[in-house]
Amino acid sequence: MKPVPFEYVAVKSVNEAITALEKYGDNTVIIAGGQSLMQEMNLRQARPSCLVDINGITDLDYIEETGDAIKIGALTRHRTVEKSEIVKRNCPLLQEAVTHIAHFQIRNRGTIGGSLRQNPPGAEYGVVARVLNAQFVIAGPDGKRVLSGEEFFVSHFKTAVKQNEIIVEIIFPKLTKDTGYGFLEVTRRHGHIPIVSAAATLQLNEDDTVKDAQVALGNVSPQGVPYKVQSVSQLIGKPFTQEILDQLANDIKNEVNPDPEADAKAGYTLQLSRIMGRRVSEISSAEYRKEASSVLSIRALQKAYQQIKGTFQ
Amino acid sequence: MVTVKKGLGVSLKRKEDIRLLTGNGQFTDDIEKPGMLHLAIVRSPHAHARIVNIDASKAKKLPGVVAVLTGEEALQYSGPLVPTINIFNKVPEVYAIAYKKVRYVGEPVAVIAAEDRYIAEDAVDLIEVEYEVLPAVVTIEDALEPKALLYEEWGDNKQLESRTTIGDIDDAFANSEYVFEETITHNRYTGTPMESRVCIAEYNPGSKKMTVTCSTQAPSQVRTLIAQTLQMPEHNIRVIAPDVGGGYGTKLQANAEIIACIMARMLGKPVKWTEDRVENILTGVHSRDYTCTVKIGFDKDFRITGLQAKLIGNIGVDGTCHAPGTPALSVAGAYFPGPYKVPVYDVEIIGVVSNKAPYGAHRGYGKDIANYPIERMMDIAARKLGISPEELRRRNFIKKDEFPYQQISGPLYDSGDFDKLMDLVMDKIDYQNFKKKQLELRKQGKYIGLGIAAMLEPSGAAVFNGIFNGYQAATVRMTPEGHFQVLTSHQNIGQGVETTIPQVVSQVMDVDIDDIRFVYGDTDITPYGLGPFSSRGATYTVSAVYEAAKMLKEKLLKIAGYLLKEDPENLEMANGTVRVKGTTNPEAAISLKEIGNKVYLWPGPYATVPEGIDCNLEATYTWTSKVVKWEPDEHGRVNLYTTHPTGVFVALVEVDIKTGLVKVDKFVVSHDCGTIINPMIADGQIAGGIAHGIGGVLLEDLAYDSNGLMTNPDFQHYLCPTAMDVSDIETIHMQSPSPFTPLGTKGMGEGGTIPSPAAVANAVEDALSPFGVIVKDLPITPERVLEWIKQGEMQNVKS
Repeated sequence: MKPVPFEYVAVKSVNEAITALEKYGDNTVIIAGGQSLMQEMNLRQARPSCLVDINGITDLDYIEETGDAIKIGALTRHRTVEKSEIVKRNCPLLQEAVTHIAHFQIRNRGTIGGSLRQNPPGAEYGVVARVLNAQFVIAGPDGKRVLSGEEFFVSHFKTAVKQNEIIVEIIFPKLTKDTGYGFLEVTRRHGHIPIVSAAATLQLNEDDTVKDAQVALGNVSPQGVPYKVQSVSQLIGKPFTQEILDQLANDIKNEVNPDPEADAKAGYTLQLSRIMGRRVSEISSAEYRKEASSVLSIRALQKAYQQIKGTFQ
Repeated sequence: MVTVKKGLGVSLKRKEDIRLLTGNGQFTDDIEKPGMLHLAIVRSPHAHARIVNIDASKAKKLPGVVAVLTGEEALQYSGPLVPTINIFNKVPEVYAIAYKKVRYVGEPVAVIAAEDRYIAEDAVDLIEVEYEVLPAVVTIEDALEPKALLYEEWGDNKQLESRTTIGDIDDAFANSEYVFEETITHNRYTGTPMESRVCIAEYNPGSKKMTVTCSTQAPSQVRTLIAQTLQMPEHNIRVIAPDVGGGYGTKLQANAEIIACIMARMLGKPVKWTEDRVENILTGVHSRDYTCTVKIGFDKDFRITGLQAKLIGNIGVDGTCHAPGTPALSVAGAYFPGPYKVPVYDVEIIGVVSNKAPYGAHRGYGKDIANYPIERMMDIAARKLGISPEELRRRNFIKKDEFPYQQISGPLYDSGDFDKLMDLVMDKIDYQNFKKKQLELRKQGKYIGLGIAAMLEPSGAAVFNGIFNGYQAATVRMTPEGHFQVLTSHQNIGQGVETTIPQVVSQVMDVDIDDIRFVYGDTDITPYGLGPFSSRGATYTVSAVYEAAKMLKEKLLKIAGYLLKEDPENLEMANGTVRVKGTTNPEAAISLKEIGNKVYLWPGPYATVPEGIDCNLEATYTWTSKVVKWEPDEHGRVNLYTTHPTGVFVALVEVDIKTGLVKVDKFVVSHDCGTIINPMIADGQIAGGIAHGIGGVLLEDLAYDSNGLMTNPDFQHYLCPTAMDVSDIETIHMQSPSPFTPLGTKGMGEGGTIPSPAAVANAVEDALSPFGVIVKDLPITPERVLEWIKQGEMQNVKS
């Protein structure tokens, strides 16, 4: 369990990082918290020729509040997000989601940018980013660009971030005070990578009909990206009743389309002695994930509803 | 106030914990030797293939690589792996490094010695092996078909095949009021010790002495295996086991360790091999993986009329030479009747070989196989009979006054009281109240369940033919300052022996445990004997230590009598002195320190030791069990286990019927392991055992695809339970001392693991009884639970 030889460059600024990424060639990758990359390197599943260590770019470690958004620097640790008063006040859904990331020891090290860049199936930030329409600020040799979630996530373990680019910031819109939210996962054990993850937000009109409802799911799309549920829009304008939720549950089951074959293809890779190893933690059947998608979506919406009504326990 | 720490039945804090918790432990991998080389192993990516060619030329050119060794080249230094154990099974010709053929993914094909592990692993990538791939035998069906033969010379894929019939089983079933049959399966899983295996081998070409430092449970046994496999004189081999980070049965062999020995012998330099976690899961010994068809008859009063079991175990490549796994199936055959009275018994056992990793020991060693199908069957039968699972068990329990009980399958059970154990646990749970709550919660869509499993833990195996034969020597020694050392080959693998063994000696000598040190882990120092396996510590080692301590005490009393001019019969030991019984007069007492000082130093032995007494202040006793019966009777029955802890385990679970997630809320355990040495350590053993049980039933699974590729060989994918996944555990102890050990103690390291999978599975079925769910293949994954609910609902609709 030792990595192949690699070069190592420690950088102090975003510009230095970009320069290093360009200088050391295609097989150069960024290391931030290292909570996935180090393991993959030790298993020889990942064999980068050069690591650019961005832990020295301390000005990428921040959480800031603007008028209608919070901005999180890409090097911010999960634990910092989890403990942040700004996040708690303005985007409690994100805070709730972060508590689901692995164990606190891992959250102390892992970074928001690293998790998003890796895009492993079901990962919490991606699901929240999709449900809230977060934006991703990416820096490269030609300056900065801003991507939506739809543009950012490409496929299993793949994003639109180019080899010579670095994520610098993620912008989450604030949740309004009247927004209910819920985040749920099915995991085989405490802190483990989810089989399915779900985030929901809900707003009600004064007459208790649904003003807005959003649901995003992790690990259910055949492309391996966080998935924004379409059929939830049917709630809008209608009262939040069991009957309509039952209908929605059914529709979500039909809407989502997990592809175990695509997952398996992305999920296996050669390691030591050319023995195949797995990168994806839970390859469950499509049937199960459809079922879980539906259950978690409804529960997350119900949780959001109870929050609005003050009945959430 | 100074508290003296001594005696049995006291929860003394573990002496070893200060060292281990402050980072002062020393494990094999912590040890560095001057000029030491590091090994990495090229492993087979194929489950079954012929080795056509190995080209190591590129690897040999890599700077830092010192040597490359193939299986064929290794034949100059080593013979085939010798059997660890061989009872009624076929012994394959297999080698530490594959020769001609590979038979599982991960099997060693070549070994590299390099200046460091990084270079060694880089060299692994450079070795080109050409294989001719053969069909893979993965499942029991593949093996029986046979899809291919693992060992062509056998003609089939059966390593073990046996049948024992006592009474007329057909007649028994024909005359039964009720007969039930179920096929029950179990997943493959393993012990996952915190420390994987590590081995440092050093060979001195001048003295021809080999020193092997390794993470093993059994230094003496490993020494014997190395000597036989390398065909070296055993007296020239020294095995050292420093701190060992858990074993759970998985460190009772010398297979990969042989590789390090070969390399050291070949190079004349120290070499280290550190098994990484992938290697450990991929090739470390596996267990369980069986299908068992159980047929059971009951009379009109629900008493068992006959029991039939057909067990087919998927051994993997071998369970004899690589590791001692295969006889676990035979142990199951001896213990299917468990805590119950069975008048007629028929058991068939088949162990098939397949292209999976070797089969070895793992906490339970077949006693778990005996338990799971039967305890599952008791619940299934109870449901069909319409009585409570508690009552069905009570009707069939062996009664307290029937002990020692001669079980139909051969074993002699020493002591116990199952009815009392059931009372204790049921009182604690408040069963009626639970049932009421269960119904109420169901109305709210919440499904809780309660599962019972009775436990019988045969402990202290004495198996003929091999290195597990029930032999234990202990030496107790007094130092010049009146303190004690206890020397045995019983390795500390985390089970608390640095504390419990001194407690036994303190009971005899009446001294503080801090004045007693348990010495282990070096075959040049300790008497030959066996390590901890089969929960044998409190049966064998404790008994040997106790008897040796008594012998030494007797000698010390004689010497003290001589010095005090008193009849030794009138003397006693108290707080580190020998004194006239009951006296407080300092003139009528002599401290152990003074005795030690006088005998060893000032003036020396001539004036201080009475004639006829050997002045060496130590005693050695070798304990063997009087009840072990090795010679099979006409039915092939033997009695290999001396003591039998008992218990009743209850699991309380909650099942989310929408996601299929199972949460174990609590375990309530009544437990009886005879005389308890240290209750806190006993509780810890039970808790750790339950963690292994919860892992096996809910999470852990060594998953192979149809090509024989293991799909989850690391801890991200092979799911061990964390502390968060293990429930609260409440344990109630009772003590029925064993009549077969001098202190009444019984070994108890596996009892937690044995019944807990059945308890959880039964609880899940109880929770989901409205859906008529039957738990089938393990582990119980959320996905499977949803399937079972659907199947149950469909059944309900049909009926």
